Amino acid sequence: MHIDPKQFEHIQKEAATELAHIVTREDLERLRLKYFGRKEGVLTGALRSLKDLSEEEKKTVGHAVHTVKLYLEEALAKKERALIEAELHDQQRKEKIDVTAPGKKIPAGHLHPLTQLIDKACDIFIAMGFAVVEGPEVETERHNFDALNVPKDHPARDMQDTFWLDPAVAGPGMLLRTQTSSVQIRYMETHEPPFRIIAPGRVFRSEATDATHEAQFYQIEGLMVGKDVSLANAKAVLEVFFQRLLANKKISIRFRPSYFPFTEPSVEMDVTCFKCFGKKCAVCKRTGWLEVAGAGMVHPKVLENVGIDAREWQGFAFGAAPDRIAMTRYGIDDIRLMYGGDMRFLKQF
Amino acid sequence: MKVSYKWLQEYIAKKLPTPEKTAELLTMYTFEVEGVEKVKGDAVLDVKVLPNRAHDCLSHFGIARELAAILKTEAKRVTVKVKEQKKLKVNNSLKVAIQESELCARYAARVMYGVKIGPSPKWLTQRLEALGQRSINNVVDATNYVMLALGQPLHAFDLDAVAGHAITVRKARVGEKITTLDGDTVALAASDLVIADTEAPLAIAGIKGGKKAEVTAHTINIALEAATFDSVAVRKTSRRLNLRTESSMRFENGLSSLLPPEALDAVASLIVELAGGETAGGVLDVHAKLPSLQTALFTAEGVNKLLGTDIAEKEMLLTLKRLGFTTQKTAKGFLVTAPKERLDIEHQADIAEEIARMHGMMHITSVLPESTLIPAEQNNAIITTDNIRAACAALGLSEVYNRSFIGTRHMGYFHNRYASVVSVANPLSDDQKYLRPSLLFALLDNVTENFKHEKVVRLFEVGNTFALKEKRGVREQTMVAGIITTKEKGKDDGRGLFYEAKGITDALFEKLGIDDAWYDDYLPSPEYSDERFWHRGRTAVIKVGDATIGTVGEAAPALLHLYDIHERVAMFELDRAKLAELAQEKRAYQPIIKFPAVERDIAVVVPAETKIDRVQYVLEVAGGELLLDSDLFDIYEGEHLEATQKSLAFHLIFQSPTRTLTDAEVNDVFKKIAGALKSEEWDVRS
Repeated sequence: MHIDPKQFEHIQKEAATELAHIVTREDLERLRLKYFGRKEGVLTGALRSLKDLSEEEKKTVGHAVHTVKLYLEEALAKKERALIEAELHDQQRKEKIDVTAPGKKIPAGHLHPLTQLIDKACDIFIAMGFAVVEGPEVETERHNFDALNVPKDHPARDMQDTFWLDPAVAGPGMLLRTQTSSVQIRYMETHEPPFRIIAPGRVFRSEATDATHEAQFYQIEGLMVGKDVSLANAKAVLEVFFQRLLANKKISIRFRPSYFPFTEPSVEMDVTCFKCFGKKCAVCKRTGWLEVAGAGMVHPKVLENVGIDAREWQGFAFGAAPDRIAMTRYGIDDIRLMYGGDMRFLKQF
Repeated sequence: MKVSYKWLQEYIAKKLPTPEKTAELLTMYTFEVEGVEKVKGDAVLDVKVLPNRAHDCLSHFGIARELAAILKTEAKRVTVKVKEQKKLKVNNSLKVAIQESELCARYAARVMYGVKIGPSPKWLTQRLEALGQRSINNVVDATNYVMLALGQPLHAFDLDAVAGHAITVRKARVGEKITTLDGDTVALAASDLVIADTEAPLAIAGIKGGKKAEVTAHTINIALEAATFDSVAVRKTSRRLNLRTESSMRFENGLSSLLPPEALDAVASLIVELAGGETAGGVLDVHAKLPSLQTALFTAEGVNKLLGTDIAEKEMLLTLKRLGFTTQKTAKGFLVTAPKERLDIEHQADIAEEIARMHGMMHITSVLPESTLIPAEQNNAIITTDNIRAACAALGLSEVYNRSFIGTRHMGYFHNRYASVVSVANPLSDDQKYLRPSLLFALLDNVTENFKHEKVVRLFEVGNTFALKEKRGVREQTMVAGIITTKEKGKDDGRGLFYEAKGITDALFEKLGIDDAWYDDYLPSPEYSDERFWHRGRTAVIKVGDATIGTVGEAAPALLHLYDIHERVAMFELDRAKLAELAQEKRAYQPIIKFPAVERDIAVVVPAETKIDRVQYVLEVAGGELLLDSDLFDIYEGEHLEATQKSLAFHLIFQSPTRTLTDAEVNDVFKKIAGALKSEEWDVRS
């Protein structure tokens, strides 16, 4: 038997031409079978017949067959990859959708604006070394008033209309705290100075409800006591706090004289209006300032009431109004929305 | 207090800035001015005097003294000398006795004869009217004018109407009444302090005069009163009678008993000027030991340390002088003596306030505190709360802040068995009469309201609830509650909602690192009529060990009816303190198994009342350590089954951390499981 090695060059040429014309994977498979099919495959047959050849021919013919085989295998694989890619690209073309159609609703919950604000406030103070503490909403008269230097039957009590609990069931002198300052007392009674705490929480005032008044609202109480903690320190700490809270370094604060029975001196604290940033708008009543907190140096009597030597220790306390800050920040015009549970409101935060 | 700009100018030599500028200065240095109103030839400032300065600043002189110090000058005090008719002795005309010296520290009186009652001159009526006062007659107007000038309330009686020409300061007698100058007849209580003659009360002390000795057009001789009444007594009577006057307002805040003589002389002089008459010689001045002027010690260093400032000692002393204080250098620092009106000077801090105000609070510059770097103590309750909130929001619940009050609206439904509910003594209204015993009441209200515009309601709240303790006192607990409901109908009989709520609590426990919570059958307890609250058949009590940490379930259908909710509602309420206690931040990593898992399914038919928990327990015990997990994927009731049966289908996952399991090994375990199920007399179909 004799095989002319040259004929394989011819086979390769023919296969290349055939391959060039193939456009489907079915045709490609047919072509693969034509050359590599187990029974009828041209190259399979040639390889099989190699064993009948002389040693000399095995070398030359074998080499020719293998060259074609390698060439074709590679060409077929390349063609297959190209056909698959073309098919997949084609799929993309067919699968075009309208991207302006609405996205699928993933049920997501929302945190209340006050939670978000208070959390942020806590983070800022924690970073300054303040511990966050809590106290009860139902308080004793002593913690809410007496120990804070607000004596019974004193007009200072009129500054805060108080909800009292039924003494027959709750015991005498039980009330809903009118201020988170009661937490100061509880904390100072049980800890040794120096102190750095904040106490966010719900407080209550017996006031008729309208767009700007709620019988309950929130306060963030702060207290820092040390050997030489001063009013100037209070200003700096509160300035940093508001700058971070409102993410604006241009925010400054301003003290005005005021009176709280538990601090001396006492100040009202204005912060640069964060609606207009001092340009004077309707929100700040054209003053450029918003009143958002009260502060002062802890009254020596308050320190003495909790057994702290006022000659040795001094410090500041403040109470900020997160409802007011949140309302101004988000442009909420009615405080009742904050305590109403309307999902159309809640979903916006 | 309404303050006349022109009047302030009378006390200050320096020309005042414009009324608007004056108002701004007062706001920044002393008191907030809430408004400036232009009136004919004057401006009226509405000054918000706070209770600590009511002693001295509910008066024009008090405000002028502040304003003068702001302008770096001093207010001048007007002193008057009363021309007395020496022949007429006040002792012969009137007697004064104080029965209640605790409640009346001082009672000073003068007597005037032959006054001519008539209208006040225009300057006076104009000034009073600008300040919101009504002009009565020259004598009464004079008393009001001097009160507005100096802050000491005054009263004039018709001397001839004072029976026995004797005035007694005493408590009212049982059943006593008085007709006030307004014409109202008021019943007095035995605790009320009155000014009486020998017959009847002439005035409610410090609050309001009476008709009996009213100064009228026919009055000729008068008695003038300048007294110091106890602040608490005046406050109590004024509150009880709901009678607040310019006088009561001043006494309530406390007035120094050093004030009466000056005011009494001033009013007598003014009356002579306005109504003529002669002033009897001498003053009836009854009082116990008079207080000394208030004092405090301070050092410049101490004040600067408190304020964080660097104010010069000289400036401090000058400020105090302008404010009417005197200072005296001592070994321990300066001894400061307050002007007689001031009752708020005790500590160095009080002096620091004066100095800070006049230095300008706005001029205090920020100084960051220097302190030891002690990291803040962590508060686990708050960290847990934050985690709970984040988890609830991630699970698709929106956070609500509801009010702490609930009303009487649904009391009937609960058979009035709100035995342990805490009531407010002075509620704003009936629907805010109680403190919430549970967060769920308000959440149900939220559902009713939101269903007006929403199809799906998913809310949660973290808040405090209140209950009475067994004996007396209030138990306050922070709770976490959630509520889910939808108008979209599911395929099942609504039980899916329960399992969704349970899925939420499960996920919450997982996030908090609580891995041993279990769900127990719910047995209604009588507490706030529990059985009328939760759905008997679809509620579970959540426990860790034997301790209950909360409840999850459907709301009782009758309760929903009450809230006008027509869909099923699932809800949960958990005790935050217990969650915080159980929450563990530590987690241990389990190595990922490298050998393949084999999955087999098994179905078992069990009696309908058999708990899935029980089936799973049997299955897992039999499966041993090669059964990694069993996952319930179908519950079937209905066709092909008896009505009392249900079919449960599980995916069983077999896997070993040390080797690839062979078919034979898996078959062995599977047979064991099937055997265990069968031995419970359950029908296994795989």
